[in-house]
Amino acid sequence: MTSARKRLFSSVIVLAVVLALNFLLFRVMPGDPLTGVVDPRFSPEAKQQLAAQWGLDKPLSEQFVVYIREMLSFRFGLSMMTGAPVWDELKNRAPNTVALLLPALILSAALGVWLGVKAAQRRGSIVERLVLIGGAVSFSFPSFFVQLLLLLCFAFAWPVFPLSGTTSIPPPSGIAAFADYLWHLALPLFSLVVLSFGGWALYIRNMMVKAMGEDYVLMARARGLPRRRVVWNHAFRSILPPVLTILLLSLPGVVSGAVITETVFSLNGVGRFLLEATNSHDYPAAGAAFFLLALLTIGCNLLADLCCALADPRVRGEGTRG
Amino acid sequence: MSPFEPSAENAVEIRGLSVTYRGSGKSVRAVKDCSLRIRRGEIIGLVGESGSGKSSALMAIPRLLPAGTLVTGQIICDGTDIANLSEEELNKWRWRRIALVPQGAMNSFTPHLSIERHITEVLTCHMGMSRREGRERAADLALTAGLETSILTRYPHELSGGQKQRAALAAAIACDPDFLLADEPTTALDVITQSEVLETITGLARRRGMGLLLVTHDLPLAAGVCDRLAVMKDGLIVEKGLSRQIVTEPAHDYTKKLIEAIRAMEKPPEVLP
Repeated sequence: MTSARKRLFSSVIVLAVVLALNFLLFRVMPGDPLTGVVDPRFSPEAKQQLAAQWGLDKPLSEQFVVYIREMLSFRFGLSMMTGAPVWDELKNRAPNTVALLLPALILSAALGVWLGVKAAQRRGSIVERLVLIGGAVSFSFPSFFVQLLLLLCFAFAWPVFPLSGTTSIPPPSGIAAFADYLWHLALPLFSLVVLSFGGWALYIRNMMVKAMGEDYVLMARARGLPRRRVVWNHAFRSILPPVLTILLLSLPGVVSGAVITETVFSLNGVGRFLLEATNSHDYPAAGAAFFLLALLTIGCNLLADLCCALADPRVRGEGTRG
Repeated sequence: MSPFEPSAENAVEIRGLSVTYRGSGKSVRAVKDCSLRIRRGEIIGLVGESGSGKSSALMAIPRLLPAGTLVTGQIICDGTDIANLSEEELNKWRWRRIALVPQGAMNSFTPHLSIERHITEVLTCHMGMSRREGRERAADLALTAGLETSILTRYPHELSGGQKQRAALAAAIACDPDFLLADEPTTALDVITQSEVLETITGLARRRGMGLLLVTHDLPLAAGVCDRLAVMKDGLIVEKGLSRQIVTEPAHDYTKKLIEAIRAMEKPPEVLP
């Protein structure tokens, strides 16, 4: 069996386990949709009717079969909280999450990489010390604390940014609507970049220090290549496979982390939907969200393998040897 | 005038070179006030035991010693003291005028770049060649260094030790340098490959009229291929002269001991009763 087939096979196994756990964990958690979603003033008959409508009156094995069928067919059913199709709910919220998280991930990684490389290049200098201290501070602060502090400073005490949401009330139209949207995302985006660049900077600095000491980097210098070329084409390029792996594997984590950011800034995103669905035992919505998150993790993992193989010929060699 | 005395054009001269490695609270002076001249078309051997400072002296020429190392003295190349040049200025001398064949080429190639890319990179950087011209020249260089052109598309990890050392040589002569610095170029190779690689390096140096500084701990090997030898011990050059003269009439006690040790090793083993 080739390496690629093995990876694919193990991914299918992981997905099957996640699917099963997704079903079981929500059902063994304390509470159920009838207490989480339904108004407590509903009569027992009405609750029973809803339970029948959601298929909760059927045996667990039958519920499991329906659940698997819905997940694998990507239909996901109706949300118990809103009564709307789960897909529609996710589709409505996904653009806000993507618009926040993708730039945050790219900006924090780019800033962290740049600072990490500069710190490694200037060992023992003030630049390195500042990066180390800044990185450690950025890396250690809890996200909700920093985000609340930013809200307090820049949305309350000095209100240059909005306190919550993704649009002003009443919503502006035309190009102003886009500017208004960016204005609402600016502070959450800034908070995520401030909170994430430090980890990248420390990680890249450590790897670059090691790479810059390698014989092949010394030889690149001996060849009289420009410093920029030595640093980026030889040293940084050699650490690219682990950097790509971390970038891709951090993507699902960033989506999960959106729960806190979207809650603090009251953004209508997938993260907040995931939290609300879990809290209220909305089985189809939470199941679908976690299933998609698992798919994203597995997809990113496979993509990381592929990128590593593209970036490092030694990994390609291992792949062909099976 | 002795060829080891300073002055003369067409040469790299080391004048009063000292190298001190500085650690946390401890300094080690690896090279002490060494002077040496390598003329074009001449092969000089720098020999000595491990830790004698010969590699430090060699690496000081293109200024490739670790950051923080204290280097004093002058490195004069064709009348210019390259020890005082900025890194950017020095890059014009590196490889174009002074190239290096490293000790154990195993790790001297960037793992994700093909051998061809290593060669074309210096050609585009220093000679202003296009990638296509660079590829054509790389093929010529591979053949000159005794390699098949098919290895050019391979990556460093796909090559044997001997192939890597030859590829390092092909890359080193890419810009037709005036001087070649070879730091233990045959260590870690088997005896047959050692002799083949050394023959290729010295042959190329002679044919192209390059000055070659060969650093090795192997005195008989150096004496066999070098015009002149300099013997190093504890960071000092204790003796220098023509190879034959050093081997037949060593003047310094350390050189005498070295030669006696080699002769003792060459004696056939006594047959046990």
